[in-house]
Amino acid sequence: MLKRSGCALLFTVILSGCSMTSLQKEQLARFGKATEVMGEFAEKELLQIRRGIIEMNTAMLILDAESKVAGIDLDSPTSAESAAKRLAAVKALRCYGSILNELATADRTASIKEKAQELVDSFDSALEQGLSKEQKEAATGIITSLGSMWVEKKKRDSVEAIVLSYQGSVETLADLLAVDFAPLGTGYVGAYTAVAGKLKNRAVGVLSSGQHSASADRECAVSAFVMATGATNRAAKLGAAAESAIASLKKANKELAEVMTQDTYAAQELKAYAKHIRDLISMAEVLADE
Amino acid sequence: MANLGLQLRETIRDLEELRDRHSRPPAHLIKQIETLYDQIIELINAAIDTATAEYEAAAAAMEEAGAKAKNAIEDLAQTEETIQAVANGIEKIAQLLAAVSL
Repeated sequence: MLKRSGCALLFTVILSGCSMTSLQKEQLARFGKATEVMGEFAEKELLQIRRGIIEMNTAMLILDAESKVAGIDLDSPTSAESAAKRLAAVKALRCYGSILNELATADRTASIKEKAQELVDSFDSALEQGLSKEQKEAATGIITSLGSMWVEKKKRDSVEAIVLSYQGSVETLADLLAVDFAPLGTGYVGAYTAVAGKLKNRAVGVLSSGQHSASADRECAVSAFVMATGATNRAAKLGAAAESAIASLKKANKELAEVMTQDTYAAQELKAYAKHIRDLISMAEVLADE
Repeated sequence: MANLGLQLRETIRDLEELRDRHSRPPAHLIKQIETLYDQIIELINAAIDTATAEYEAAAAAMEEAGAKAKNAIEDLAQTEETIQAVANGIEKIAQLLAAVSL
């Protein structure tokens, strides 16, 4: 009887030694939550930027009596196709954060399995070359193994496999996001800034020409000026906050591998990353009220 | 290596400052700023090879226009000269974009 109890105790100790430490769980959850929030933020912002571009192009049409409607793309220089590609990329990032957070905090294996499948699907459509066999297996391994009694050990194995095999792909998604959020770049926010600048210039032209004395014309020009100025400021502030957050995501993504392979590794970049994400969301909330 | 997109944005920023210094900005200057914004949008959409003579020429012309705009901000009498330099820059970017779309 005593021998059987001793074996059970030893078995439990071995198993607990194979599971994640509380520090690892805490740091994994921090990274996962921050990345999930980053993905949600980017998803919402990219759609908002596209809507903003359409509104500003419409305002430009109103200001220019000579412009022809035929052949005008109101969403230019964006397009539905490019928006869909970008949304797939940020959704993949959100799914990645979500599954890591779930593996660190949740006990329900059913929801983890569901998120694992979502992770594979979203990365597969977001990356041009799709996922490698190894990457798919890292995530689908969870689906087949979590049903066993070794849940905590399997969770740790799954996290290690996912973190190590998805590190490069997460870096690629972060680079794409950095291009899109650079206010003077060639991505979405860069395009938004250019359209805002063009609208503001056209509004200044109308307001300073002295030829549009009708109050309705001036009202349109003033509204366009206010819209364009707001968009320019918004892009500059949000772009700067996003730039810091994305740079921090890249550093934390590298550090996450250390967290998972060293039981007591205290990650500093992960803390900074979580703070940058909080700052970014606060900035977005303030700007939404302006 | 010259970065045309960045140079273009810097020149626009200076031209906008010049525009805002005038109580009644020249219509031609406003038109040029609009054209430069259109060119930025076209550059965003186009895959540009930065290692071509057209690219270097466009970036150099835009750099010169930017320098003229900086001087004109201090001395508004130089606005006309700036407009000439910007016209040259616009032409060079148009040539670059035409070469890309061929």
